[in-house]
Amino acid sequence: MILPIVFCIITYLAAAAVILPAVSSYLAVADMFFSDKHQALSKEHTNIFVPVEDTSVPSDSSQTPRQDTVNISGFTFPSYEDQFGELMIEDCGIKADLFFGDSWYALRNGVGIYNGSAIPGYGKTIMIAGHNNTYFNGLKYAEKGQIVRIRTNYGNYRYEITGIKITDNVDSSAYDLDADSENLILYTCYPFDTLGLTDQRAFIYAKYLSGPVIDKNH
Amino acid sequence: MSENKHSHHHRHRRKSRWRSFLYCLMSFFLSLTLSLLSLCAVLALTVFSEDYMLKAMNTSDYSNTVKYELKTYMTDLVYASGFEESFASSFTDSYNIQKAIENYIESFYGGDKSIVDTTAFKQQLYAAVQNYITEKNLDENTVASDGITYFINEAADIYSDQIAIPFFSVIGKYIESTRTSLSVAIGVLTVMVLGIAAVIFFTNRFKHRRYRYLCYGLLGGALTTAVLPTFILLSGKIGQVNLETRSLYHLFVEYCSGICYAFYIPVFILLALAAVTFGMYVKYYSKYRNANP
Repeated sequence: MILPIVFCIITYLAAAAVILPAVSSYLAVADMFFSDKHQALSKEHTNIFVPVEDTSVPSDSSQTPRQDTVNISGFTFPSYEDQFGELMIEDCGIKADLFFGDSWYALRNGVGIYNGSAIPGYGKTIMIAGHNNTYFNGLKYAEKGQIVRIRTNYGNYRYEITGIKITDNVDSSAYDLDADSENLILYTCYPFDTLGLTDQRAFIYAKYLSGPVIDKNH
Repeated sequence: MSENKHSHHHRHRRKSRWRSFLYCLMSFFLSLTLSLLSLCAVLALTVFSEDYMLKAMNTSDYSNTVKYELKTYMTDLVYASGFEESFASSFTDSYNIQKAIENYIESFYGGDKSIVDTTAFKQQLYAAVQNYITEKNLDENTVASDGITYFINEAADIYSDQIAIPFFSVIGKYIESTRTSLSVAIGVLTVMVLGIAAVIFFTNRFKHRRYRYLCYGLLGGALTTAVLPTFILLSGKIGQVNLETRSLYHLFVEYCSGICYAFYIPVFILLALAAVTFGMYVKYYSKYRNANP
């Protein structure tokens, strides 16, 4: 009864010789659609935000703020959709949880860092998005000189609003993600308090005042 | 005299060997054609069958999962657009979603372009928005008509993306063009299987040999048909597909696993036939042995 096994082997060898050269490239492409383990379909949304002591703000106005540094390996770097801080603009009545990534989930529960921009302390442009009818509704009261406070799991930051711009949603000149200095941009849909989606955006620009600088070399 | 007898015996053995080789070859071709016939039959019953797709959708609870996902996306969208969250429930009703999925699948297997028709959805959503504005007594300043149109179009895009199955429109044209060829292939392979089996059966002088070679072919066919799906199922590769949407993931796993399991139907038929032919072989072989001790 060895013959049926021989038939089976010959069939597969012949099929491999004839078909494989023609379909190997397709198989390689198809392999990209598969991972090494089963898909985890339920994403755990983690909150890693544990406030740290505010050392950068001077206790009295005569002292200058300390420029602390924090090692990048010394704190938990947030994963996509993790809550890792909170954002406050007291003059605008804004207090929102801060998420890493600006997904639907993040914007439903707070405000989120735009994918491709930096986190506070990184020395680059930080872009934070929020919905105009919910967490960023208070941006309609934003004015130059107001202070934006961001507390994260690795340090506390302060920025000062320097300007406001209303522009089209495809206007890429409204932001510079390659900037070499730390700056904050808050953006949301415009106009505020209207029903429906809009293709205009309000950009609120702020300059860095204080907060620990992330040491990327460690 | 002895030399002649020896030579005759030698010729007879050589002829017998050639005959055996020839019948083995025919058994191999029987095995090969049976495997190909099984493959084509399984494809016709699964990949090319609308019923199979609907069954896979049913088993994987596809419609309900799509409804849930669609409602989540729509809730996010209405939230972003300044509506109350509960507004999403007013235009994501189960019946219409179920109907849209069925229409989409029907158009796919019917050879039409697999495009989701969003007209009814847009009309329903527009009416729901108007009701919302009236109910909330909103003034014109807070309702930008451009914004509402933008919102409805965005919602229709999400709706269309959720109902549609990725790559279906690409695969659709191949399914349609291959359907006829597959029917022809099944017909030709059936004739070939019957032809080879008839040759094995009617050209063998001894009955036990007829059943032995048929049994080889049937077992070879069963084995060849079983190896590939068993390998795929044991590798666990199907469950490792990178699909993040729950509805699509479960549909894909159910659909592909179902195809693999479907291969065991012809495998069991072939094994049953092999068992019958083996029984006949044993019966006629013992008769032959008794007649030629």
